[in-house]
Parts: sequence; structure tokens; C-alpha cells
Amino acid sequence: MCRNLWMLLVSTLMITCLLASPISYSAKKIAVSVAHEVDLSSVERKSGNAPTSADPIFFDVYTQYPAPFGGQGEDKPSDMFWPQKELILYVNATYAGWPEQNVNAAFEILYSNGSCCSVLYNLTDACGVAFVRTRLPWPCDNSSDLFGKWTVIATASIAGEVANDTLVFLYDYKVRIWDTTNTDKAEYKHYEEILVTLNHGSLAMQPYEITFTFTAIDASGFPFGFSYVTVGIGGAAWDQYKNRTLQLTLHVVKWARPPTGEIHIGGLNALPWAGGSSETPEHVLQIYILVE
Amino acid sequence: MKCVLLSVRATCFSLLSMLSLALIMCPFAPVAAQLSINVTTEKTDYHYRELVRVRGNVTSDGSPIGEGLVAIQIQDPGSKTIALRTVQANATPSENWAVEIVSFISIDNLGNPESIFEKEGFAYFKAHIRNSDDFSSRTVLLTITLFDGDSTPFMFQWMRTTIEPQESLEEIVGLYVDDWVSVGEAAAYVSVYEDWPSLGGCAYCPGESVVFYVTSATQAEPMFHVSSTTQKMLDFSCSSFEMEVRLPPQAPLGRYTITCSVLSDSARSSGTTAFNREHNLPGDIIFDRKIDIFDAVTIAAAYGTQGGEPWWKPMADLNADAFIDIFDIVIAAANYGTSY
Repeated sequence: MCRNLWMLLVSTLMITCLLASPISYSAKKIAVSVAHEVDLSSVERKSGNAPTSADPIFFDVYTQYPAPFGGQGEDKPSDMFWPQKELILYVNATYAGWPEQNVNAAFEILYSNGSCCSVLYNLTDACGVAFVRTRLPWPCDNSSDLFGKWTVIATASIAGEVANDTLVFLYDYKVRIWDTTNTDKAEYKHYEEILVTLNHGSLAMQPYEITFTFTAIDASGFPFGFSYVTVGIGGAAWDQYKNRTLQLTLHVVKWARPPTGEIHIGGLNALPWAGGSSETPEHVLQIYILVE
Repeated sequence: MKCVLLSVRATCFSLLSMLSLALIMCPFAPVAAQLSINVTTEKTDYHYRELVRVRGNVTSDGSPIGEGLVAIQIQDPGSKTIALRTVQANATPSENWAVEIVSFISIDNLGNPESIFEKEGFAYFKAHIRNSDDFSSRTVLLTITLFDGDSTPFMFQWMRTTIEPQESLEEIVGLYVDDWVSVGEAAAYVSVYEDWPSLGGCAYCPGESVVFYVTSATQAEPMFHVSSTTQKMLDFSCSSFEMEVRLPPQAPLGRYTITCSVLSDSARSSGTTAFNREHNLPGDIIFDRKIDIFDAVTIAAAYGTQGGEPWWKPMADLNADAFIDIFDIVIAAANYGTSY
């Protein structure tokens, strides 16, 4: 009798498992969607004052990007910035949930090497928010040395205490064309196709569009093949390049002049006629054009 | 003994439960249909600029399928793809495509719509595709094939990348129109695949096409002759499909492979066939292995015509300049009277 009951139990369990399978499928779907959310867990926690019952002061510094990309909230980092991009820094100061008005907030911006770039100030408004504007520098020499992890330290005196918060953001090209970008071979005859493999990466967490241009030029400088591809970038986890690959073909026309050729690859935020500008240094590949 | 009997009873009960459960679940369990695709050409050997008619049909468990997408890839002896298109077998499937072609247009070099392009210049096209999937990124192979009015594929371009969920991709490409291309109506076909059909990839969605016109720089007025052979799809009934491809003038000799892959109701299949591009002596227009009066008459009938005109014969354009003139006569006359 006991065995019968046990077998009945096993059968019931099996039926339940089979009937439950659609539920597990939908659960998997949800898991996939969660996986696409921005992963900020790897970010190191910085100093900051959270609104706790013990500490009524809330003081948060963030950038102009929409949440969560601007670093809104406790010690969250901001999405990346690129050369000459305007940087707007905000602080939100409250005491026991009420806005702290007319508080002089100081913003210290530090280069990636830790030295001071600038210190800016502003008063909080009726909402307890103060902001300053600046622009990321791009000096004439060794500009790319400035790339890296920048830090913003914001402070203000609230109820006789110095409230502070720290924000970090990354400074880099919006998109990078990696050196692994190549052609399938070195020498091409007329009527052949050049297979270009573009490897690009970006630190951007937010989605942006980039137009990659591919222009083939023969030995005398004549362009003989081109293609423009607009793709989405972004979706990176903080401080981790999101890398992608794009392959395409360019045709070697019969009038391409030997013996050498070049493939010029660039990345723009839009084509120049549409008001776009370059977002990354040009990458040039050398090829040889053969005559049969 | 009683214990053994109880054990047998319990086992029988368990088996019975499982059997009844299997019977209940059976109608709901997806049964994999046996999808098969058959592809053939009219003959096995083809000559200079001859028309290759690719035919095939798709069946599911031996019956014609209701709807499906067929990818047709033609590779030359060097495995270079010369044409790749998506055609419908029977009706166009009405699904929500994971990747879709949002738009495909011909443009000028400033991005404005344009449908007339000169030979020995670039024709520009803009393709916009989108990954409509909410969760999965997709690797896409975007291909553009240009056919002239003689059904000759004269340019093939492809691009492959990964598109994130709900993201789109736009490609603007300039494709060179060679001097041997027939003037008149031409067509550009864009398709999106998971991978090359020769590697088992299927089409993501139906292909799109755009008609444009090729003109000659020497032509006073653009001539818009509508060719009767421009990529017509003859019979969609009974799950059959057909595509016409004329071999380009520079098509190398050797064995050409045609690979077809089909996706229908989540089932997939692929099939291949091959044909040979055989050598023929210049001047053998009717492919009877000798150059005689019949070839001369055929060239004479087409004399003075250019690509796209009613009496135009691509096989008689022996120097591949899209005109049948004295230079073609000279080439044929040099071999007159010979057989091979």
C-alpha cells in the first residue's frame, strides 16, 4: 500500500514537472532580459552619504546622462565621455528628505592621473540641486594621454558637516577601431573582392550610432570602392569595452591602378553632409593591386 | 510472494500512468516535419553568357509546403559567390521576422533617391535592416546582388555583423557598373541571412528589390527598355521556385555550385546542384562546336544592337563591350570554318 502511494507520488511529481515546463521557459526568457541590463556590480564603492535614519544628509553627484547612466544614486559611476564633450555635473543635496537651498557646492575634477583639472562652484536651487558646466580638454599635444578614469569630488557644508560624494567616469574615444582590423589577404587582382574585417569597441553604456566609412584608393589616389555602414554601439558594462566585428567586401574595379592601394576606415557620428564629424582616428590598411 | 505481487502492481501502475500521460501530451508535442528541397538546372553544361535556369521545389513530408523562404547561392569554381537571392516558395510567409529589411532604395551620391545610373560609374544603394527581437542579438549577413536586363549578375557585395536587440543597421554602398552591363532596366536585390546558405544559413526574412536603369555615357537619351528576362520568377505554385542567371562575360571555366536553403515553419533543409561552364571557341554563338554560317547569321541578326535592345544577343557580344559591332564580327571571322 505504502509502495502504491509512493508510486502515485512519483507519477504526480512527473506530471507536475511536465506541466510546469512552460513556466520554466518563461522564467528563462526573463533571465535573458535581465542579462541585458547594465552591470555596474564591478564598480568599486566610493565615499558618499546615503540617507539613513542615522544620517539625514543625502548628497549625490552625477552627470547629465539619464539615470542610471549619469551615476545617479549612491556612488554609481557615470557613462563615458569623449573628447571635447561637454560635462555637466549636478549635485542633489537634501536634509531629512528636504532640499538644501542656497548651499555652495564645490566640484573638483581630477584627471586620470589624479592631478587636479579644475574646481568649480555653484549654489543649490530650490530643489537642492546645483550644477556646473565644463568641457573635457583636448590639448594640442598628447591629447590621448588624458584618456582613462576621471574622478569628480563634490562637497558642501550642510548643518555644519561636510557632505561629499565621488563620481568616476571614463574618458575615451566614443568608438575605437582596433589594430586587428585587416583584409583577408595582401594582394588583389582586378575584379576580386577585398574582404575587410573591422574590429571595433566602445566603452559607451548608452546606445549611439556610428557610421563607419570604408574607402579603397588605388596607387594614383583614385577612390575605386566605398561603403558606409551605420551601426549601433553601446551596451558596454562599465570599464569594459563592448567589442564588435563587421565584415564587408569592396570590389577591385578593372581600372584600379597598381601596384599599391589603401583602405581608409573611419568612424563618424553621421556623414559630413548630414552634419557629422569623426569620432575616432582613421585606420589605414595597405594592399597591393596586381595586374594579370 | 505478496511483496512481489505488490511490486509488479506498482510497476504496472507507474507504467500505465506514464503511458496515459504520453498519450495526453502527444497531440501537443511538436512533430518535426521532414522538409526537403530539390534544386536542378536544365542541363549540366553551359557556355559563354548562356542563361542558366535554376528550378526547384520544396516539400514537407512529401507534400508541397504552404509557404517558405528559399535562399539561392551560386558560387563560381573558385567558391566566389556571384549571386545570392531569397525567393518565396509558394506564398510569402506572414511571420514576424526576427530580422527585417526596413527599406532598400537606390540613391545618388548625396543620399537622394535616384534610379538612373551611367555605365562605368557607381550605382548607390541604401539598405536599412532591423533586429526586431527583444532579447537576442543576431549575426546577420546582408547581401546585395545587381542584375542587368539580361539577368546577368554584375555585382555582388556583402556585409556581416551582429545587431543587438531592437537595434538597426544601415548600409550605403557604391557599386560599380561595368562597361559590359546591358543598358536599360536592371534590378538590385537585398537579402538578409543567418549565414551563407552553403554553410547552412537560411534567410531571416523575404528579400527586397529595387529597379533602376543603366544608361550609356554615349547615349543621347536614356533608353528604358524593359527586358523580358529580368529576373522573372515564373511559377510560385506547388512550392516551386525558379531563378534565371546569365553567366557574366568573365565567368571562369569550371564547376559552379548552386546551394539552396529553405526555412519553413521552423524546419530547415538545404540542397545543392552544380553545372559546368564549358569552353567554347569565340564565334560559336549557337554552341554546336563549330563556327559556320549559322553563327554568322545569328551575329548578323543582332548586328548594331546594344545590351537591352530587342534583337540583342549577349552570346554574340564576343568582346564584352555591350555592343554587337564589327569587332565581334572580326573575332568570329578569325575562327570561321573551324570546329572543336
